[in-house]
Parts: sequence; structure tokens; C-alpha cells
Amino acid sequence: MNAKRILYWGGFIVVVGLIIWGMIAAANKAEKENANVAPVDKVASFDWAKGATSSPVTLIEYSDFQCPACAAYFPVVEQLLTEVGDKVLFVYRHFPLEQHRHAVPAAQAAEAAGEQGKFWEMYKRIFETQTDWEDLADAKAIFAGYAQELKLDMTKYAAAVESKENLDKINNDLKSGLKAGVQGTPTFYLNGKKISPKNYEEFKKLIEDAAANNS
Amino acid sequence: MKNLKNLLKTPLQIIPKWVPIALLVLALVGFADATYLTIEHYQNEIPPCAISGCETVLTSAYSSIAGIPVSLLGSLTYLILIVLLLLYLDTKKEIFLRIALPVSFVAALASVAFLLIMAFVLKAFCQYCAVSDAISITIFFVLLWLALRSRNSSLPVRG
Repeated sequence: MNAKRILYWGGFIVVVGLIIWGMIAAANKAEKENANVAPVDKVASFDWAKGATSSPVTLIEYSDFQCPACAAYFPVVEQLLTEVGDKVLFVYRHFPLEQHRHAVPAAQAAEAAGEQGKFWEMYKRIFETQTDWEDLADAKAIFAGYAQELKLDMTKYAAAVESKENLDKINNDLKSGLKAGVQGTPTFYLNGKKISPKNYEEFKKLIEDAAANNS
Repeated sequence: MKNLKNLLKTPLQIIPKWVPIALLVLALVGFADATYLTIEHYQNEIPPCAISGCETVLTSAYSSIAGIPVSLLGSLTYLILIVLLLLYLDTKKEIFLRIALPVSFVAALASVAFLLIMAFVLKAFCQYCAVSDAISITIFFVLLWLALRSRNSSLPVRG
């Protein structure tokens, strides 16, 4: 074997080695990104959760602030939390649908409020007023108005609302939903299992049964 | 029989150098793609997908054969093709391309099967898999074209 050949085949081994190394690096990067995508059956540290924090029962909602059905479910969830809030941990994840142009800005506003500890207040305000802003060309000013009402630090809010971290978090929620197989909003998962209760009583019973099974 | 011997001995009529080099580049891309999926498989991770459906495909019963992930078989096949192409480029002996043809045929056949499974059985789409399938099929057709070309060109020699 002459030197040229050694170089030729040595080059081949180096290239193949580089490809494998590169792919391992890419896979590790993907794994890191996936770490911020919460699984459907577990609450992540960065999730918005309220209710019984120590309860083994989790109710995860994938929702869109501009979807009318989601707004209709808002009081249902509120009532559930009043009645069985001691038995279940409720988690809200963003699943902004493409056809709703205010869905992402609304989610951004809620996240920005969340940074100042007022996620649920903003969440409530946005859902309750959905009909006021759904037809507007731009609802960002309305959401900023809510932020002001909630006495948020507006400099911080303005910086947070359009930050990359904020948008990444929303997109990671969306990915989490896609991974779970969410097809529309709202979609509820009780301990990782998709549920479609037909009425309030059934919804409540599902939670109570899950709590009874887990205790 | 004599014809066959002739066929095997006839050197390929000048293959433009860019053809095997293009094949080599394709095989390297396919190798990178399949290797990525293999690593993801062993890390129990699902790559970030532009379109949803990767999960369905990559976790389906069709993603491994007897416990061996299909992506690993793909990686190894690409590696074999890369070695054969390099041997050809090094020695200019057409036998290496002739060995590559059946290897690539099996790969292309499997690729067509996987594309059909994605389209009609799983009804889900995994772009990493589709890219690899497309590359396998392309490599096969180019190798086939080279083989047919050399056969046709050898006709006058035999006559």
C-alpha cells in the first residue's frame, strides 16, 4: 500500500468517524431540546399548575386562548377546581391553532404575566374577555391593558412578552401536545389518558374516580 | 456463458467521474441520516419532527426487524455502498459497481416497501425515513443505469 492509498482510506475512516460524531452531537442536541417538551403524563417544573400539588392525579389541558370551546371550558375547569381542587393538580399547556391569529399573542401575554407570578390572573382575564378581542386586527394592546390592570411591571412585561424564551416555551407546549396526539382544543388528559367527558358531572366523576383509585 | 464472461470482463465504457462521486455523496448523506436515526433509537428519543408523525413511524412495529432497528440496517448498507464506491474510485475496477448493484437493489426494494407502509399502513410520515428511502432508490437507479450502459456498450465488442 502506498502513501496515497493510506491517505485515501484513512480519509474515509476519518469522514465516517466525523459523520458518526456529528450525528451523536445532533442527537444530544435534540435530546436537550426535548427535555423542555413536557410529557403528557407528567407535570414538568416549568408547567403552569394549580390545585392539589401533592395529588397523584393530574389533569392536563391543551388549550388555545382564542378557541371558543376552550373559553366555554374555562368556567367548567374553574368549577372543577373549586369542587375537587383538593384531589387534582390542573396543568394548562398552550396549543395555539394556526387559524387563530391572537392565540400566540395571548399565550405570550399569559406567559409574560406568569413571569411576574400572575399567570392564572391573566389566563382568567383573557378567557373571560375572548369575545371582546377575537375579531380585532391586533389584540396585543388589549392584553397589555390587562397587564396594567393586574399591576404588572410594564417594562418587564414588554420585554418578556416578545422574548425568545417565551415563544420557545409556547412552542414546546405545542410540541408536547402534538407528541401526545392532540388534534383539537381543548383536549384533556387525566393521568396521561385522553378523556372526553360529555358533561360536568361526568368530568367530575372521572377525577373523583381517579383520586379514589390512587389513594 | 462466454457472453456472460465477456460481460463481466468488459470494462465499463468511460463513466463520467462525477457519477460515482455523486453516488458517494448520496451514500454519505444517507449514512448520516440513518446513523442519526439509529442513535436516536438507542437513546430512546424521538427526533424533533417538522411534521407530526415521526413518533408513529419510528415507534411502529415496522421500525425494527427481530430487535434490530431498521435504521441500523440502513446505516450498514450505506457503509457497504460507500466502501464499494471508494474501492471503485480507487481501483477503477467495475466489479465493485457490479457488487454494489444487488446490495443497492435490496435497499431500494426495502425502501419502496417502507414508503408504502408509511403511506398506506401507518398513514404517518417521517421525513428522515423518507429522505433515506429516496436516496436508496436513487442510488439503485443510477447503478442500474451504469450497468445497462456498460452492457449496451459492450455489444459491439462481443459482435
